[in-house]
Amino acid sequence: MRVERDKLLPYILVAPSIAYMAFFIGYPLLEGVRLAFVDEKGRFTLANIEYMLYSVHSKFWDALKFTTLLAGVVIPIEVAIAIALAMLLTYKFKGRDLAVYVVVLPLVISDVAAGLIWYSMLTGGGFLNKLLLNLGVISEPVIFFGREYLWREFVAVVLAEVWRSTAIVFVILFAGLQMISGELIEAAEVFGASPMQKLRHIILPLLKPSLQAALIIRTLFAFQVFGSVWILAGRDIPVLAGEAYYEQVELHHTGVAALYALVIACISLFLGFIYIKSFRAKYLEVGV
Amino acid sequence: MVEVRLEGIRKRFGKTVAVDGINLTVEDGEFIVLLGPSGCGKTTTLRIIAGLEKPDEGRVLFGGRDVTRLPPRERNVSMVFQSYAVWPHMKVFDNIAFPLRIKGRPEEEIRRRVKWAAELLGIDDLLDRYPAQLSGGQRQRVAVARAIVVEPDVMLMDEPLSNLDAVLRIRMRSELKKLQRKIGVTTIYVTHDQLEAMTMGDRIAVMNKGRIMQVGSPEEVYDRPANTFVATFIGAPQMNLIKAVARSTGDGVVLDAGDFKLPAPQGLKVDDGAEVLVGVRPEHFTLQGREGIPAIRGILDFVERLGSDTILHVNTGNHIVVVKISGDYPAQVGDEVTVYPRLEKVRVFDASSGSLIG
Ligand SMILES: Nc1ncnc2c1ncn2[C@@H]1O[C@H](COP(=O)(O)OP(=O)(O)OP(=O)(O)O)[C@@H](O)[C@H]1O
Ligand SMILES: [Mg+2]
Repeated sequence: MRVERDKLLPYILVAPSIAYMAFFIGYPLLEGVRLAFVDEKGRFTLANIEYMLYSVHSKFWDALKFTTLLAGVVIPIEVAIAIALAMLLTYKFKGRDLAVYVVVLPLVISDVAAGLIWYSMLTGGGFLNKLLLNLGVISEPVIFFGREYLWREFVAVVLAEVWRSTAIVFVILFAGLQMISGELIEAAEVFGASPMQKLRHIILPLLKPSLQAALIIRTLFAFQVFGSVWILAGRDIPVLAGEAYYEQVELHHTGVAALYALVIACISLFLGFIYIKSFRAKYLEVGV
Repeated sequence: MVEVRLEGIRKRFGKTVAVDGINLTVEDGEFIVLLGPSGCGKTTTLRIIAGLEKPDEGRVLFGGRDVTRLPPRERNVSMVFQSYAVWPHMKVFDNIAFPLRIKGRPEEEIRRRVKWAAELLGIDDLLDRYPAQLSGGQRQRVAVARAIVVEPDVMLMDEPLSNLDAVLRIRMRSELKKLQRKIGVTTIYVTHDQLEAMTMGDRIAVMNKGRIMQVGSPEEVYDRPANTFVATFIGAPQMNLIKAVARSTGDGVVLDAGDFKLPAPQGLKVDDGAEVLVGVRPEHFTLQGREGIPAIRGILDFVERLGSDTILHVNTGNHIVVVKISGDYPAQVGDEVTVYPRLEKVRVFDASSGSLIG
């Protein structure tokens, strides 16, 4: 009797979350598949896929390219900044708590708001141009926006994204760094490691589990990027989530929009799998 | 190999004074032991020498060179951390090899030296394991191996044998000592095991509350403890400290403990009627009386039989005198016993300051 209960207990405990996920994730997912592959008459169809991949109106390939590019540029920058900040802020100095607070602040700002903030910073009559003009660094405003300045728009999006979402990477890595016993790092110092060697041989390997968590979360977000891009570049820089929105709201292609959502979900799953495989911390698994 | 000199080192953590003005010179190639109770500042002192902690006051000199502000990696020291600080993500081999790899030694030399260190510490069959797969004592030996694999100028060891079983500890003691002699590295060794201190140290620095109470050879600190702290900290069971009053008489000073009187050591300079503490180690009593040696009589309060020795707690009325007799002693609690102190071993301390005065 007792054994039976012990065996059942884990299932009973996870049951509520399973029910939650089935209802709020499983059901919409199935509905998405239905929308994408079943037409109004209830027949299986590949029309939406064909439209998405081959239609001249579809920007799927561009969207895939730009989303990946954006993720590929933004995430390494964010991780580098977050590691540097986290290490800096493990030193105890006056005003450290305030500094942590300031770094984390952008977390509470929505992506649309971040887009707007950076738009007003970078626009022709914006803060940056005024500053540079007044300092005499430039004689006429630098233009960031408009289709002919595609790469400047891209830079603006990168800035906004980095500014907004470094915080989440920072929070995870900062917490991870606090978990590493200071003496492990001190031991490396005593045995002659330079700061770079300390980082490479001790801190980064020990930070692996946190790095994995941060990368997974940040990458999932990166493939859903939308608000800031929409504000700063519109469809000049198409992204997957933006195309889903456009197909649904402007063109009423619900099936295509659902397909985009599925593509995002599949990419996220795939990358999550890759991260978990490649960032395994072997030393944590021994003896288990 | 350098001489290490600490000049007026002071270190505070908030309100706690961890190190309170330490002066110490460790000679080139010397093996010095820092001995003291928990929390007396031993680890902090080592960390200051390693450069992991900056002193609030004072200087650290390596061979005359001021290294107080230098980071650890520019000091060429090696250290066994009290908490081992073995890296969990590296296998034992890589842990031990790390100091050599950082110094860019060739791979062949690294393998040879790691093997040598691991064999010395009896962990050569564990090289392929992660620290999580080791026992506490094995992990500690990895930490020691990592510290001896390089040839540093100064070796710092913070209770490196604390977690080993008695047999292994005794073997490691002599191995470490032999190794230190062979490579002649200046070594500062922290322990609160006084047997370890006595058997390993060229000199012992006894610490208490952030200060050094006495520095001297093991014989010196045992035979002539500078004060009552050192007297009671070194030796087990503790030295007896018997309250007495010094009285000048016709033939020298007599120490009057009430229940018995002892002649003072020769040359003791003390005021008539001064309060003193008479220190006699338990092992410095005999059961056989001799001409001119005062007897101490009392009732047996308690007997501890250790096999090789017997420890008697003798109640003389106002004092309890602890006596260590070698071999078994057929006495029962309540019996009357008479013991005789070895007068040349009697020490006298000032009752108020606790300092040795004779
Ligand atoms: N980082 C720190 N912050 C605050 N107080 C500290 C710190 N490190 C040490 N102390 C305090 O300083 C004093 C000396 O500590 P230390 O670790 O040097 O003692 P120890 O002699 O090594 O003791 P043990 O034998 O228990 O290891 C203690 O009172 C301790 O509480
Ligand atoms: Mg300590």
